Amino acid sequence: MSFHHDVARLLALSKNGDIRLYLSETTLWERARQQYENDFKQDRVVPYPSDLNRYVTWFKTLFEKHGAVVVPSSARIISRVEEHLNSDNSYFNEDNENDQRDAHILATAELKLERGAVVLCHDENLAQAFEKIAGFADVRRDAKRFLSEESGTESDVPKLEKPNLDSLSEYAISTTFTESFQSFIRKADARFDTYLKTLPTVTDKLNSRLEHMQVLDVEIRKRLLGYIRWFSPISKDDVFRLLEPRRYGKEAIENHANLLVHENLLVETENYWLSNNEDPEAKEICEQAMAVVMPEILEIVELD
Amino acid sequence: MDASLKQKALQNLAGTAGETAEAAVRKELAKIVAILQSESQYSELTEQLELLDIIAYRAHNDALVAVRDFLERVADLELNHEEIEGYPAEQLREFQTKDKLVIKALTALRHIRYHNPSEILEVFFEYSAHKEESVAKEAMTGIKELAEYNLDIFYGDGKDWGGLAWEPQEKVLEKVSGFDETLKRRFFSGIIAACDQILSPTITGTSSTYKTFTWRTGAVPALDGIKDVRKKALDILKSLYSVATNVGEKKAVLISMETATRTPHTEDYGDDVLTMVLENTIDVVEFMKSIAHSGDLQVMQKVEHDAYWLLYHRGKLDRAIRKALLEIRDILYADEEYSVFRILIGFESIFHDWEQSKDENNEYEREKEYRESETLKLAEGINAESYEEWRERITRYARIESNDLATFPYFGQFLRQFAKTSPALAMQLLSDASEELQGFVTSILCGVVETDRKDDLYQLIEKWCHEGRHLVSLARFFEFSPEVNEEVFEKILNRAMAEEDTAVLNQIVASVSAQYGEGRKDLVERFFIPALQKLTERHDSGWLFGFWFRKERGPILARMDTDGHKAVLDNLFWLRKIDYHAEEVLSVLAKQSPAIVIEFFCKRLAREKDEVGEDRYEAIPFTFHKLSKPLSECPAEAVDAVRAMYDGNYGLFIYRGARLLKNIFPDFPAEFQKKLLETARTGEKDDLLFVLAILRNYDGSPVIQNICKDLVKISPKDDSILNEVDIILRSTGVVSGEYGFVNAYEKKIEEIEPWLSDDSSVVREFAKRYVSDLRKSIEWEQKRADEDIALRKHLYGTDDQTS
Repeated sequence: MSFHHDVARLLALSKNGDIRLYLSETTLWERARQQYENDFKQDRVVPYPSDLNRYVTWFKTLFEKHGAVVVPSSARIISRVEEHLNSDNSYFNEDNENDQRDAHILATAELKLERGAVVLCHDENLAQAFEKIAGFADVRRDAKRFLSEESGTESDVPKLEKPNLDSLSEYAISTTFTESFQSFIRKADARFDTYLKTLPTVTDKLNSRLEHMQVLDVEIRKRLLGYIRWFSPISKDDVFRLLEPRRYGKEAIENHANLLVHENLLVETENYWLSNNEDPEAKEICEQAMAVVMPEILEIVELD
Repeated sequence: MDASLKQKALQNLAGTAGETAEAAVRKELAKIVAILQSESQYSELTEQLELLDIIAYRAHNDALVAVRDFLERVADLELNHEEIEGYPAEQLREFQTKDKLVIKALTALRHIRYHNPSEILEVFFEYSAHKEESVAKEAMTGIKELAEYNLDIFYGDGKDWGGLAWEPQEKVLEKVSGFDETLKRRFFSGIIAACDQILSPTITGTSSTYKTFTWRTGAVPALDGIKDVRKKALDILKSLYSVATNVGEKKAVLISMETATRTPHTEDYGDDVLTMVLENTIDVVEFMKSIAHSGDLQVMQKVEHDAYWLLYHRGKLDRAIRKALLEIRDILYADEEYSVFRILIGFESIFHDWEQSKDENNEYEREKEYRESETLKLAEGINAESYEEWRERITRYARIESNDLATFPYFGQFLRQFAKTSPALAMQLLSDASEELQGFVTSILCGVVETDRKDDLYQLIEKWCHEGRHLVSLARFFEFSPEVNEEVFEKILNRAMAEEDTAVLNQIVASVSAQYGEGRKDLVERFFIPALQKLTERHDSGWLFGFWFRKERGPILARMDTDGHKAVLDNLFWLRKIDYHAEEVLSVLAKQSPAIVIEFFCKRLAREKDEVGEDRYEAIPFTFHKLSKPLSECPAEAVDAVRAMYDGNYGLFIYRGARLLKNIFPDFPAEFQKKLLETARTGEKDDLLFVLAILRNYDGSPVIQNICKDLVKISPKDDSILNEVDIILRSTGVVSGEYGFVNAYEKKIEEIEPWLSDDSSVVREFAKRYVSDLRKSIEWEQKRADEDIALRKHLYGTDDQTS
């Protein structure tokens, strides 16, 4: 599978830690679907023609390998999409599936990103919605220009680290999309039910705890809970060391860990953070986080 | 990545359900296998075996293959060793051995033993016969663990898993039943170990939390399956008896069978369990009966002992058992040869009526009296006609191997009495079979010397001495002989001196000590001291162990002059460790002259500094048992002597010279304190350090507070001295409990309180800083202890989680 030069460069910058890249679940879905349809239409050998799940997971894994975050859809995001579609603005027509999906992209950014974030959007209608409805100040229509500003001109296509389609875990495939997004996309794209199975989710309790947070906060907390459970007992220094490539900063990690301690999910000692095994709910949430970060752990222990 | 982090992640991964985790585990296993099959560096192989141990249960079939292949490879592998600074390659080679890798591999198999029991048993049995003891022990542990009754394995987890019941035991028996005679011989110990476990009446299990360890135990249920495996184990033991080649092995089989006759330790078991045990007991008793007339005297004695005690414990419970046991008694006692044997050899035979309850109070005396009188009769009954028969019997009995002191006392008495009654026959026996009799020659010599064949005897002794034969026995003869033929004794001494035979020289010291008394006091100068000096030349202090317990040690040492004491101390200088044996001797010398004993320890300390090598030389013990009192009589001299050897190496001196003074003055008496203060007041840095080193040994006890205060006043501006005083006062020695240090430091703050209002501003300033530092330490210790508890709770769970 090949990538557009600009996308590849964006992912390379993200991998390098120069930018932090966020995508909505809709973006992931559309990218994977297009590729799938493309491969299928051109009569190429598609290893798993009967379902799209593996394609979607492959893209998600690739994005995440390059430091990009696919923002999970919460119930609040879906409800915000409804608000956009039902309002009398001229940007979204509730009967148009494309508009529905655009509304989802906007709602995701609106609720999970800071307003100072850079938005890359070549669709003028959606770009205006970002500016006018959500109040994003820095919306760029031209990705190329953004890239040259960030990294100058680059002639070679950066090499991306591509996962193996055959070795994707069944668990990762079954939990690629959040439950909220699944119910949304069924209505917003009629092809969903044709292509995808109903996906089970086992991260309900974890998600409900993290539902109202900014995407970066969610990301840090999931990793803290998951990593601390996987490497238990792990010293604070080791947590910092393992999360170093993510560039969160020591202070942010500490702040989130303290809040998780406050929420009774972690136990803190002088040198350690421990998952709270004495509280059954905390234990369950930590185990769900463990499941969520499993692909990353496999990568760390070189078993991915 | 960090190895310990990887291990933790793998531990969780192996415990995680699903295909992804399983695939990852298999991937890791493949990596491990590749390294185990290609790497030759010890540390790398160790790390991989540890990782294998963690994940093996998730892919047990492959793990088993991996371990087998590795064991095969490691046998011929030339190991490499990682370079570690400060550790010479030779030392690493000695420590990082192939055997240690084999043990690690076997440990991994132990942890998956219930998954592939048959294949794993094959490995365990193979290695149970390994020449390296630690490897064989690990394999034996594996066999025992698989054969034992474990509550959690037997009954399951009480939820979804129903347990294995007696399946593991069946697997073990199945494996053993397949062994042919050669394999049975080869894996003899392993089979015994397995049967011991299978015949155990008890089932156990353990559980733990962060602060408790619970040992659960109960009776093995009398189910048909259990009865069946017990029966099969007994049958295997019977067949094993037939391939046993010596008495030790035969006894081992009988001891193992005896396990089947035991009831559970707990009293809480039903009649069905008792019935099962009694059924097995009948089986065992019948077997004992079948070997009761085997003619193997040592085995017959074991049967006699076991049969009596079975009658005592089980006779009233079952008529058939009682009848069979009494039949065994009758078979044994009808055997004439055995009747002689049980009088002369061993300590397990029964000498009272089996059917009468024995008189506990007088039993030992009565048995002694009976055996002595029977021994006498047997000895006196030997004549020219029966000599040949007795010669054969005596040499046969003398060949019995024993490492205890209770097997031969009556045999020794018998030989002495025989020699006394029939000296001519005894002399003939010595002439015919002295080499075969070895350790028993002394008893015969002691008997003959009391007869009119005494001169012939001394001629024989001189001849042997000249030939260099039986020298230890000859020297030992003078330990027990009613007289000391000094001329002959001297010849033995001279021979031993010439040949530097330390065993004989040590025996000569023991013999002189035993013979010491009125009219024989000069033996000390003529024999004891020369022998001792020769032993000193050979750096041998073995005589001490035949001397320290004798009541004559006091008078002997008292009789010696200064040179004699010097000879003793010069010899003990070579003793590698001063323990209670040496203290018994040194304390006698210290009472007479404490200074020479202190000097002796100073010399030992000087030697310890230069000692290298494996066998550690300990100049002084950790503490004195008897020496403190006599050595503490002259504190000034003691301090001066030790001060003279302070060479400026403060760190080492704390554990050497300073420790010696602590051992001598454990309670820090006033005179000692006065002398130390005098020394410190010179103001010389070395004098101050000398005193500080001594104080370091008192674990911050309140008794040293006054002198510490004086030291603070003496050196108000020397930070290094003040820091040392701080360390000395802060020391705690051993503390107990999670918050042991917190409590100890809080107590120290209380103890130092008066210093805060001392007249001296220097003392007040020191105390203020000391208390502030202690408070910081308390805070840190509190956190450390809290963390320790939290970690243990996290790792091992709490009571609530367990329940």
